[in-house]
Amino acid sequence: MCKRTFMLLLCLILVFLCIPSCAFLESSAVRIGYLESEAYGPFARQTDAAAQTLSQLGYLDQYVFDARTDSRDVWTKICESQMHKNVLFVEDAFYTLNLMSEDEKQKLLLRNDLDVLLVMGTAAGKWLAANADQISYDYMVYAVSDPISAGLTKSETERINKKSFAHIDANRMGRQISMAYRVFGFTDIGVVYEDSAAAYSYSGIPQLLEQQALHGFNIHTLHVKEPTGEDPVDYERYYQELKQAYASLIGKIQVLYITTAMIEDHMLPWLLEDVHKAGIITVAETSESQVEMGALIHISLTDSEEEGDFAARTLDEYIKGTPIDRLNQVFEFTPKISINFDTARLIGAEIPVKVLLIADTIYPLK
Amino acid sequence: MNGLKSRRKLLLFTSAALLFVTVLMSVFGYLMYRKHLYSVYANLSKVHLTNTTENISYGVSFGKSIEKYYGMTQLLDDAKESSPLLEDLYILDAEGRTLYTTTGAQMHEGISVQKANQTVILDGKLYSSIALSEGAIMIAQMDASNVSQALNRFAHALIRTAILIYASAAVLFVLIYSLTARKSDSVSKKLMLFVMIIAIISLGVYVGYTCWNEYESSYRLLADGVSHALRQDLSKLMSAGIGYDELYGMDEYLKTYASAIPEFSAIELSQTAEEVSPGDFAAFFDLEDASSLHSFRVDFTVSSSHRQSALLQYALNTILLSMVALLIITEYSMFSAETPESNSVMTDEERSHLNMSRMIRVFYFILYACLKIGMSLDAIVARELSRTMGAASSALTGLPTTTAMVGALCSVVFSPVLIRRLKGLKAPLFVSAFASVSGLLVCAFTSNIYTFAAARFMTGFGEGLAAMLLKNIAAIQLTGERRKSFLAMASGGTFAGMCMGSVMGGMLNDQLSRTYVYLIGAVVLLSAITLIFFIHLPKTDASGEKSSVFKGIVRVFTHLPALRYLISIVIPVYVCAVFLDYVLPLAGSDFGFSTTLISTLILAYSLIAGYASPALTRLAGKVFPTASAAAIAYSALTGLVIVLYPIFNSALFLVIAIVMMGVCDSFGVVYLNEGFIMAGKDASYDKNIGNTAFTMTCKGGSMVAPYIIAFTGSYMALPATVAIGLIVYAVSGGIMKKRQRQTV
Repeated sequence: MCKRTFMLLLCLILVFLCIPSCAFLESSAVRIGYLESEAYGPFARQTDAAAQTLSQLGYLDQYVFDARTDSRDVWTKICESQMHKNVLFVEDAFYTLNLMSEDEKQKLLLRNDLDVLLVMGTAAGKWLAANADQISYDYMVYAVSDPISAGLTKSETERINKKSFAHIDANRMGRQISMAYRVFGFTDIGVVYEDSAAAYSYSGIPQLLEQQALHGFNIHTLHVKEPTGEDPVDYERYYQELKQAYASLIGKIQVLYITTAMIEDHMLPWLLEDVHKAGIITVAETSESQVEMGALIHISLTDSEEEGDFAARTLDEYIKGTPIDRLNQVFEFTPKISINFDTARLIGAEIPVKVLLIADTIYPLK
Repeated sequence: MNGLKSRRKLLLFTSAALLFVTVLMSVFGYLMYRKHLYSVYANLSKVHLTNTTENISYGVSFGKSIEKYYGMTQLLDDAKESSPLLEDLYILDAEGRTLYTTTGAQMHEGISVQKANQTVILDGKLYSSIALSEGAIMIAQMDASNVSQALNRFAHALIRTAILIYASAAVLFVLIYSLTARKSDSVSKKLMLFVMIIAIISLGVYVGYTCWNEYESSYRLLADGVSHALRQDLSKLMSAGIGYDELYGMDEYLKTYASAIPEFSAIELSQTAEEVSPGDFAAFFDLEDASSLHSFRVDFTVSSSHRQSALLQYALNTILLSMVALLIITEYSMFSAETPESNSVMTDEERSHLNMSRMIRVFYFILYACLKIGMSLDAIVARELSRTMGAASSALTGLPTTTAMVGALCSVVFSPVLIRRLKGLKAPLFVSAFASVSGLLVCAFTSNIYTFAAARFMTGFGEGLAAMLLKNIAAIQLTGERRKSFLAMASGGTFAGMCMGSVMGGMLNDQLSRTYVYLIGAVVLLSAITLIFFIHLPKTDASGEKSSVFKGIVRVFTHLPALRYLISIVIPVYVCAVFLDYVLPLAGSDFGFSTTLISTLILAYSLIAGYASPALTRLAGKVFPTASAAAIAYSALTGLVIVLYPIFNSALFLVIAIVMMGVCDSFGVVYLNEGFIMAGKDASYDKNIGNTAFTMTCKGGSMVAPYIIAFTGSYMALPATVAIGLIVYAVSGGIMKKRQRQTV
């Protein structure tokens, strides 16, 4: 009797000891893949920043990379580094959408050796969302300016399907316009963009209208047609139209909002020549590089390093067991200011000392 | 032989009293100086972190949260790099967790729950906190060696001076002792008292003057800090290729610094080549850009209002310290005072009675000093605690005031039972003291409003019981003359204790914290409890009827004229009484009054009410035909005085209302009691029981007052209660007369 009881107890102890081991066996590594819309520097920088945060969090060891220009190289370095047992970056699961054949796309959709796919850019996100019923894995979309209007998510809390996640910073353009208003206190702002639904969205017109309702300034709108391909003639036509549109706003506005468009940075000095001569303040929507090329001020909409850090921390939560549809999609970027002081001198803009002191970059760099 | 012994005793006691007062003043002087030094270093850290906090508030204004502020570590690193003073920077969230740090070190455990705008020194480091948004705080860590050196320097100078003054006074005491050997004790005593007063005033003036001088010299330290920060800012812009002439919004920018340092009303920056309108003093620095060397001048204008308020604060502290010292001396002189009886041969019984009266006076002086130590801050603490619970409702803030009154009411009701059960007065006196000590201890350490309210119940009970025991001791004195002298002596001690306690509490709270205030009160009272062993209290008549008190009280409340008087006159007056210890601290702190200032106003009220009482009571007796008329006038005047504050809602009218309240109470309290006796003159109840019912009604009035304020949401409710009471009094008077006529 005593022996039986002893054996029974021993068995029970063994069973209890086995439970955690079984749990460990079940929690195998999270397999991660990567898809980007096209080869694009910021995507590489963001992936690199994510890898660095993952290193800090203990998922990657010996990850060192600082070229950060090519996503493929970054991915290779990630896969070569020592990984934590809970993660597995699948080396052959790296895709660039605009370089993929239909066959390759189909193979990606049918892969069953992935748990989650990191997606960079609107096009890649939209393609995956359209084929979500075919995939067996979850996906996280980053580097999309307006994921709600792009149809990648319904709202800050609602998803389009149970496998999706899309980073949202809905008020990024609103913050930019608000800051410009705070600094310059204008009454009339000019904006030139293509008369299409997409351009209306990525040019930040809804947010501009929201800020107008708040501050009561006037918006002067003109439309141009953006170039459709790589045709230099079409580009030439576009730049002429744009310069003409800018010129026709002179005398009516104090601030010109240079919206996201097909403008190449090196064309900015020529495009803004007349505007600056007229003393008009130019606020760049898209990037700091536009300030470097002559726009007066830019308040950052996005930051690859910061979004990479957020992506890594979200991945960390996912690895630890938070379901994809429970992950927090909202993350607002720390606004960063860049100012071109040569332009400020040229147009006689009075930028307060307090703003200059909190500016992150003042061009031209000394 | 007896004379020699008594003279030696006098010398010993006088020296001991002066030593106590000297130590007390030196400690306060040190605390005042330390507080000032901390505020200077706190301001310095604010100056060095102005740009960083601006940057953070800019990010937060765009929706960033402190917790997820990307780039914060870099921002803090830059701030640390730019300032030679800062050793480390921490950002803590509202729960005290370290969110960011420049060295990776965790915040020192001792200050992990630090609030904003506090400065502490721990392990040779000075930590100064600045409020950010979302309840987060930034803590700057600096080397404390400069502060410690300055503190040590001051402490040494203070100790030297205190010893010098004390030694001089002691030599004079010995001289007086030797030279007046053939004179009466009274001459020696008067001379010694005179020397003591001079010594105390000298020390007080020295402390105030030294602190003020140090305060003035700290301007230079702050100016250097601002000058360094301006240099860093301009250097950053110039290195980016921006010329000084190209800078706009300099006034706005300089205002940011001026607003961080209340000591300066204006800061102006100019190039030395320019013509400037000089401030109170200037600092200079040079900066080199690509083309040339620029010399800058920073002019600082010292804020006259801040200087005045600082001067007022130091003067106030000095005066209050001197007054506290004088109160102690007065108590001492009363304790050792000669009586007319001493000239004749005193019987043992008379001697025993005199000793008992003196001991009771001393004990009640200490008891009330400890019980009233939180008078100027109880309401403020209650509001803070209710805020930490996320429910800063007026009702919750008033809860401790109410529970204190409930405690007092309970003591009135249960004191006869206690005296009977504990067979005498000594044991209940122990109960009173221990209840007070435990209440004060809980007040010191609790961070919960309900526990605080419970602790106030204990102190209220202790205070009420002590008051009832005093009446009982007086009631069993054999002769009326002896009773009168005993009551006068004990009341004097109580009054002086109240004055000293409230002042000490207010000052201690400003220099240390509320924990120390209540803790010191508890410790002092605990040590004073031993005095009870030496008090020979008269024996009580233990054969009192058990139910007679309760029946008597019921009889009082069913006597219509007495009830009418209690409801319509007494209750409104005591509802208004909370204006002093509830409304004044809350409204005063809203106006930025320090607890020292609040306690000064309480002291002013007490002194007016106490010292103007004989003259104004006589005057009121001549002006008003009856005691009831005087009581009604007192009630109406109290309402009129208090109404000034809610109407004008200004600090000035708050002060005026308090002073005028003191004037009203100086004659009113006597006539209020007298009016009640008149109202019940034809009643069958016992006068002592009537007195108990009157006290209960008073406590009841003060008990409901915070809730009347909470329900109406305005301090106007206090005078409105008086108005309603007077209307009720008039109407009920009419009805009663009509009934009387019908009966006739």
